[in-house]
Amino acid sequence: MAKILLKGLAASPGKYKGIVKIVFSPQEASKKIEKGDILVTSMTDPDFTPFMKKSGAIITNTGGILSHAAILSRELGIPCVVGTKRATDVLKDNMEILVDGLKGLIYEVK
Amino acid sequence: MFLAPLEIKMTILEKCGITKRIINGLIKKGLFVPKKVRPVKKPIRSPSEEQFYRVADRFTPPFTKKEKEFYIKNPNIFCEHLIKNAKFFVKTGELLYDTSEKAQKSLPVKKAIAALLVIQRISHALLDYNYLKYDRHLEYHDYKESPVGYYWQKLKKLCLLAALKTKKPNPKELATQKMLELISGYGIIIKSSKSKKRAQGAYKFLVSSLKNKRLTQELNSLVKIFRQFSLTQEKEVIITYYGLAPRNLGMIEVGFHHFVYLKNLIETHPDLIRSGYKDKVKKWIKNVDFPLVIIGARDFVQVDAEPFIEEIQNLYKEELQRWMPH
Repeated sequence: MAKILLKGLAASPGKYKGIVKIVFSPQEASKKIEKGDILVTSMTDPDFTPFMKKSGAIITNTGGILSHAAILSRELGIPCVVGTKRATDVLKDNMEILVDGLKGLIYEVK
Repeated sequence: MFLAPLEIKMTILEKCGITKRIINGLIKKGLFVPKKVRPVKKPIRSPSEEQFYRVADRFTPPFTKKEKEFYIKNPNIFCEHLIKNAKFFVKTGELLYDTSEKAQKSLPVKKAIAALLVIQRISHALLDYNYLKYDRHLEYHDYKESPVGYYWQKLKKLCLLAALKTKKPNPKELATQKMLELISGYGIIIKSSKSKKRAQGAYKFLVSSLKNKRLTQELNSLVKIFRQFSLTQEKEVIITYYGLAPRNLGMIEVGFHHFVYLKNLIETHPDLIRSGYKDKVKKWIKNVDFPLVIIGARDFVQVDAEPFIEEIQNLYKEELQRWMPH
């Protein structure tokens, strides 16, 4: 069974396997995020929207069911886990992970 | 006989154009500057509050019992007040933004520091009483004494009931999935026909599982309320991040513009800080950095002008007095 790396709040259903990109600002996201990457950040704001559209899944440290990241992910139909507290610490750039947006879990992929 | 021109004694912000009339107008619209900034005795306890540094801010005044009851009964008014307060926050922030410009350009150093400290204090009061007090409730889905939490728990129960009735495996997961799909489809920032279809599908599934007129009516009203919450959240984010036309100054600009000037003045005039506070002030300045801007700046606000020389303290007290409730 795959190892659970993080738990958070299920914010948008769906499963997605991909590469982690940790970003702290839209400027950083514009340099790092490529189509299909998993966007990992502390919290999102409207300036993140173009990069959220490119992402395959979203993970945030903070936020609830009505947070910006949660609402936009549901509209985009991509998995999202919010309120993980420390995703930006636990996950590392270019790691391959599996996001389960329905269970609110992040798994390691070997 | 020679008569010297009459000098009218003005406070520091009066010199920057902030008349008593302006202050009274702001107070009338809802500005509340407390005499002392103290942590609230009973901050809201929510199982997940520690996840949100902003939500868990124990200085932010909670709703009174009366307010809680009123907003749960009238979620539409809660949404209305939230947006009204977000707009008030941005508009008053614009005024403070201009005032801090005038203060740092036209006042001598000591007066400018005192003026910027007062602006800092008022910015925080605005944030606490007119913005955070409402906004943070959008995060309290697990706290049933908050409007969002109250209706979220109801929706959760109803969706679980529907999922149980289908006798399918993993009813909890099925309920969560349908709930999340149900509250999407009406975005402002992103409009998607696919998510609208998913929401309609989830709704049909729930109605056909519930097979009950009363429960369907309850579901209809919960869906309506939740879409309103979701819409309010998006509107609030747009207002606070992009500001209001024509100036479009967002929350970060209006809320902490003055701090850049304050920081520069403090760093270039360390002699104006009292001896016991030099290291603390250095640390506090360092703390005012994203994403902990609010909590970092709180260190300054809490002690008023205490770390500074007496002359600055007196100017600060004299100005702040004008903003206090009588």
